[in-house]
Amino acid sequence: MGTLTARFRESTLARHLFLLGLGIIVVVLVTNQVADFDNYQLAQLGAYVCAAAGLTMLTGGNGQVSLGHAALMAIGGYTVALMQMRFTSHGVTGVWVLPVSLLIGTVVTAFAGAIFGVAAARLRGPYLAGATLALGVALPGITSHYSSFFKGDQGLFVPFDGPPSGLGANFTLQHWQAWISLFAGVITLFFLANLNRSAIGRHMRAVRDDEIASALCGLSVPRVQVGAF
Amino acid sequence: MSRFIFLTFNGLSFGAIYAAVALALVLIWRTTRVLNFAQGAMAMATAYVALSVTQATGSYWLGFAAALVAGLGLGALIQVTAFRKAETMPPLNTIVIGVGLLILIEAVVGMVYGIGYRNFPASFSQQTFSLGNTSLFSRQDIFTVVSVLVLMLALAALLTWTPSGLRMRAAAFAPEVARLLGVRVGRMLTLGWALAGLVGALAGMLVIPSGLGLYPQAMDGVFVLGFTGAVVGGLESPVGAVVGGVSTGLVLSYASGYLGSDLTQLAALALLLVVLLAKPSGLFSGTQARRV
Repeated sequence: MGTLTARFRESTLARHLFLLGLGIIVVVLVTNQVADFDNYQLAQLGAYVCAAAGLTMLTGGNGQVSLGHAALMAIGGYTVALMQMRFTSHGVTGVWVLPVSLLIGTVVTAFAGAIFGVAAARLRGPYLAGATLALGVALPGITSHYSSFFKGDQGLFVPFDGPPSGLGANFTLQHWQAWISLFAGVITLFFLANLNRSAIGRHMRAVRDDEIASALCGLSVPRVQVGAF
Repeated sequence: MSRFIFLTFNGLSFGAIYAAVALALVLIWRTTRVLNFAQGAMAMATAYVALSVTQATGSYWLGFAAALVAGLGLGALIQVTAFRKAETMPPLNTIVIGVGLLILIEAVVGMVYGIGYRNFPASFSQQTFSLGNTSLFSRQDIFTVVSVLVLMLALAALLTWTPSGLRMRAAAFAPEVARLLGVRVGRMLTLGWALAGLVGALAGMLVIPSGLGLYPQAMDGVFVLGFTGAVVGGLESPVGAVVGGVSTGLVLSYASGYLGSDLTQLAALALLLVVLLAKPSGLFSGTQARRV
C-alpha cells in the first residue's frame, strides 16, 4: 500500500487523471442541481475556462503578451459552426458529430495559432502587444467582407442535435450544453497541466525567464515561442 | 485622380489624430515605460466633460478648454494613483492595469452619462471645399491638422528649450542621477502623464464629431489605430509616432476608398506586419542594447 501511494504521488499523469475524474464528478453533480439559466451560464464559463487556460500558458508560461486571443476564439467558433452546417446539409447525424467538429475546430485553430506565432516570433514586449491587438481587431473584418460565406454581422446558426435520448427526458438543452462545455474545460485543463509539468512546459518557462540563457543551453527560442502560440 | 486627392486629405486629417494619440502613448512610454491602454478612455471622458460644460455655459470653446484642462488633470491623477509603482512592476502588470482602467472609465462614464449616443458638434464646419468637382477638405480638417501641429511644436519647444523640459528629459533618461541633482523625478513623471492626457483630450475632441457621436466606446477604434501608428513609428521616437500616425491614417484612407470599408482594419494590420517584419522595433528605432 505504501509503494502504491508513493508511485501515485510521483506520477504526474496519475495525479492529473485523478483530478480529471474528480472534476467530471463535480460537474455532473453541480449541473444536476442548478436551474436551466445557471446551466447556460456555466456553459459560457466552460468556454472562458478553455480560452483563459490557453492564454495563461502563452502569456504567463511563455511570456508573450498576446492581445488577440479573441481572434483565435473566433476562428475556432466559425470552424465548428461551418463544420456543423456541412454535416447537417449532408444529412449526417449522431452523437459523435459534435466531438468531431470540436476536434477539427481545435486543430484548425492550432494551425492558425502557429501562423500567428511565426508572424510574431521576432517581436517582443509592446510591439507584440500592438501587433496582436491589431490582429484581434482586424480579423473580424474578414467575416464582414466575405459575408456570403460567413453570414456577416448576423453570424451563423449552429445546428446541433439535442441531448441523446439515453439520458432521459428531463435532460434539458442547457444542461447538455453545460456538460459539453465544462467537460471540454476540464479536459483542456488536464492537458495543459500535463504539458506544464513536462519538458515542453519547462522549455517555455526557460524562454520566458531568460531568452539568451535558454538559447545558450540549446533551446531554439523561435520554435518554442511558435509552439506556445 | 480627384478621388486620390480627396482620400489623401482625408487620410492626413485622420492621420493627424492618430499621430496625436501615438504621441501621447510615446510620451508615456518614454517617461515611465508603461503602455497606457486607458489613453482612449481618458480622451473619451474629457469629451464628456466638454459636453457637460458646454451644456452648462452655452459656449463651445469653453467646453473645449475645459476638456483640455480635464485631460491634464486626469493624466496626472491616473499616474499618481494607479501607476505610481510602474517602474518596479513587470510589464504585464502595467498592461493589465491599463486595460482595467479602460474598462473602469468606460463603465463609470456609462453609469454617469448613460450609454446612448450623444450628439457631439464639431469645432468648425465639416463641409468640404471643392475645386471644380473634386472635394478637398473642410474647415474642420484644417483645424485638426493645424491644432495637432501647433500642440506638437509646443511640446517639442517645451521639452527642448525650457528648464522644465530639461528636467523631464533627465528624469526619463537617468532617474537616479537626476534625483541626485535635485530633480523631483516623481513630479516630472506626473507632468509627463498630464501632458499626454492633454494631447489625448485634444485628439478626442477632434475625432469624435466625425464618428457616430459620443458614447463610452467612442475612442476604442481610434486608440487601436493610434497604437498601431505608435508601434509602426517605433515607441522610442516622437518623430516616429507622428510619421507612424500619419501613415496609418493615409493607409486607412486609401484602403477604405479603394478596397471597401470592411478591409480598413486589415489594411492597418498589413501595414503593421510589413513594417515590423522589416524592423521589429518600428521604423525609427535604433538598435537596442541587450542586457545579458
